[in-house]
Amino acid sequence: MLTFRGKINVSLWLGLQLMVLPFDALATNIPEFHLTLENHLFFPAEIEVPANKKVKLIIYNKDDVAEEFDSFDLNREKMIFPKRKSTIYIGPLPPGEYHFFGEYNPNMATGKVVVKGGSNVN
Amino acid sequence: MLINIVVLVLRDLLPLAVLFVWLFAYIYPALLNIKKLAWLCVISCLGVSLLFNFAPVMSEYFGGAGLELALVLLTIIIYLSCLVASIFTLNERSHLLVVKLCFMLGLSSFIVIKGANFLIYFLGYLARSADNSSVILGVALALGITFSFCILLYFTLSWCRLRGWEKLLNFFWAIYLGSLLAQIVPMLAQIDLVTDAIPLWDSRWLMADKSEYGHIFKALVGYEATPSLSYLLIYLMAIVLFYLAMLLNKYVTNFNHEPLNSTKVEPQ
Repeated sequence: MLTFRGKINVSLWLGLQLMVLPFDALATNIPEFHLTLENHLFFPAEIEVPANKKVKLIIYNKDDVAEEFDSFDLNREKMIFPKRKSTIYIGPLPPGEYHFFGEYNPNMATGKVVVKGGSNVN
Repeated sequence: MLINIVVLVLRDLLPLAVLFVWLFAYIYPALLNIKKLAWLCVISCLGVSLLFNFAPVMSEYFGGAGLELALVLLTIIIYLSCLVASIFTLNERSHLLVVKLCFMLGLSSFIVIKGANFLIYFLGYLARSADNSSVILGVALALGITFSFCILLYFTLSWCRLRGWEKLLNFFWAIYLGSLLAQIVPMLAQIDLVTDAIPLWDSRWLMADKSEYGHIFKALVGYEATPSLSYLLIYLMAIVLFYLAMLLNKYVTNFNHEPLNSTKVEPQ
């Protein structure tokens, strides 16, 4: 038989699992693409993703300073803290080129997402 | 750099200033009190420093969605606090403790979000700037624009209030509240909890989100150059919720003031 404190601990653990579950489930279904920011440059500067499909973009910031991933075309902006990774979901997008840049180094930290193919995934 | 700093201040500090102007001029003039403002300042400073320091760690929780989830939660708190408190103050019950608490909670949460965001970006720019004079000039320029705009807004709202245009003011306050809540949509889209891939329209040719005017209109009415359907739905839902709450409050107030025995007694 669980004590009152034990019941609270179990409830907290279950609650936490329920909160994390949707994010874990999403992570397994959506294709992942990786970007690295080093010396204020994005590597690779061009990534190809499938059309009409949601994708997960994981960005690693290897620099000692923060940078903001910014894209007018993708309608996304997210701070990437130094020595940490950030995740952004984009799409589903029609074929085309979608440019992105680093807010602090807009001339150096640039790149594009190239959406290719015609797969009809919802 | 100069323009970036101006835009940064307009993005983060103008919305805060606009909310304060709304409260001082129409919704809750009693907030203009040293004691209340001092408490607000202390609570907000603590919150800003907490969010500023923990944002990098939070950004990696929940599969990279931790920071967005925290900001969404705070934004919902801001909306609900402002909604509840303004319903009471607009119905002449601003003396209630719940009003003070709601405004404190909502305002401090708003300051925490905007303050921490401003600090993160401002320190980023400062670290990269070889010449600090452009940073100082940018801040001075943007603060000048913010103050001028807020003074104009304050006098416009006060003038409307004196003319007795409460319905018009309530409508714009409802729009303002809608724009506050709709800010959760881009954050939720970023972490894949709503879809916003296809915008309803694209008015970037007219006014870009990141332009000076774009930020001013965003602070006032939640302007988005490429809004999604979810953005528009949440925006409208927040406005409808305000009017429903106003109606409910009026109904409850009338019900409470009605005499128990409403049958008229004819004088003999």
